[in-house]
Amino acid sequence: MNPDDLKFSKSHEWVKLEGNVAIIGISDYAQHELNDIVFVELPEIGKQISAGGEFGVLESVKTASDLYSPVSGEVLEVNSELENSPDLVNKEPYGKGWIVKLQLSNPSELDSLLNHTDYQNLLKG
Amino acid sequence: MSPNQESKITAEYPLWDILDTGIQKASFNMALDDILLERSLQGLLRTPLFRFYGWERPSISLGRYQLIHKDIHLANCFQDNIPLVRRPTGGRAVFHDDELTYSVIIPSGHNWTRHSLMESYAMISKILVKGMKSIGLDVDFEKHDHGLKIYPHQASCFASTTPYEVTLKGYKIIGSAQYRHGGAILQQGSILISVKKGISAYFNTNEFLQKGIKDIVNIDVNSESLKQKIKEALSMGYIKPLPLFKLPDDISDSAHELALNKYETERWTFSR
Repeated sequence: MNPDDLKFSKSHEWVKLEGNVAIIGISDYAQHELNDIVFVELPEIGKQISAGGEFGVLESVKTASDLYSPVSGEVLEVNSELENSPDLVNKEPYGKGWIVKLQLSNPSELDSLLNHTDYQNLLKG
Repeated sequence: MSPNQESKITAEYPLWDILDTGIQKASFNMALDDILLERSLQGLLRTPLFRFYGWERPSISLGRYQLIHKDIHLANCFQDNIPLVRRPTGGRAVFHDDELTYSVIIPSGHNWTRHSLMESYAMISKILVKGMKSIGLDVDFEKHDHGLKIYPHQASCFASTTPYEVTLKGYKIIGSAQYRHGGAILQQGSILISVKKGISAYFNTNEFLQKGIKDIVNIDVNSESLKQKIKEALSMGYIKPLPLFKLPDDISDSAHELALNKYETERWTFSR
């Protein structure tokens, strides 16, 4: 995925919209910051998640860090490849390292997220 | 002192609480950090907190998601009656014995939570380094490691290095790990004073070389004297400590309850 096609949260997650399904992962900055990711705690299918709410935990060599959903919705699918290959989040944060797919319940929440340029500006401080 | 002067000093030397809970059981040690983190999320901690503690007997703590059967030699641990406890923080396993253990809890909204993971590590490490240098330890602390490899799949925390590690003559002597939750940060860490031979028997890993301060340099130091120096460093440099924080009974009671209902249970310890 091209990051220019994604929306970003200030807590470093990204969203790609496909129809009414939101694909969510973490940014390249976030994976670099976390260092080697060794485990991803994934949510259960069917779980309702609110925008800004926790939906899992990423563990790297140095930290365990909550994942926050940029949008609200029901968990449709999780990236089960991460169970055996959590390092996909490091290797392909915008591709095979996606984390969860949600059935979007409030599409207007996307309006409050950042485009790639604004997100990069946020990182520059 | 004028109000302006006072606010300037507070901004330059943020106020922190210092808590010393002494020697405790492994499960209580983890439960108390967990409770303090939760209290910070509820806005019930006055300021960030630097806690020192010790272990009533040699114990092993595991990372929050570490695979216990893969990484720990359970038969040897049971034979030698080594308590196993799973931490709330990430990272790899630590054998706790002759060491000074610390934790840092930074409430959400505090300036330090806005720093990146590595920056926050660096800021906490600088305090520890200042204390260690004050007793003549020539510790290294740099962004990049000294040619030591990063081994993310090692069982032991001290067999792996990442940027911003504190080393003494090339040996990693402080192992730390964080949990970032609800915008707050919990960091736990161990400063090794000395390491008994043979501890690799408790890990399912190749023999690894782990040393503490006294194994590396000829210096008269123990966990108490090192703790005092780090407390002094806290007041000299980055932090203005408040009068020693007394652990309220309700927090202590909650920690004992959580120790029993979570950190001593197989459900938590053997969850991975």
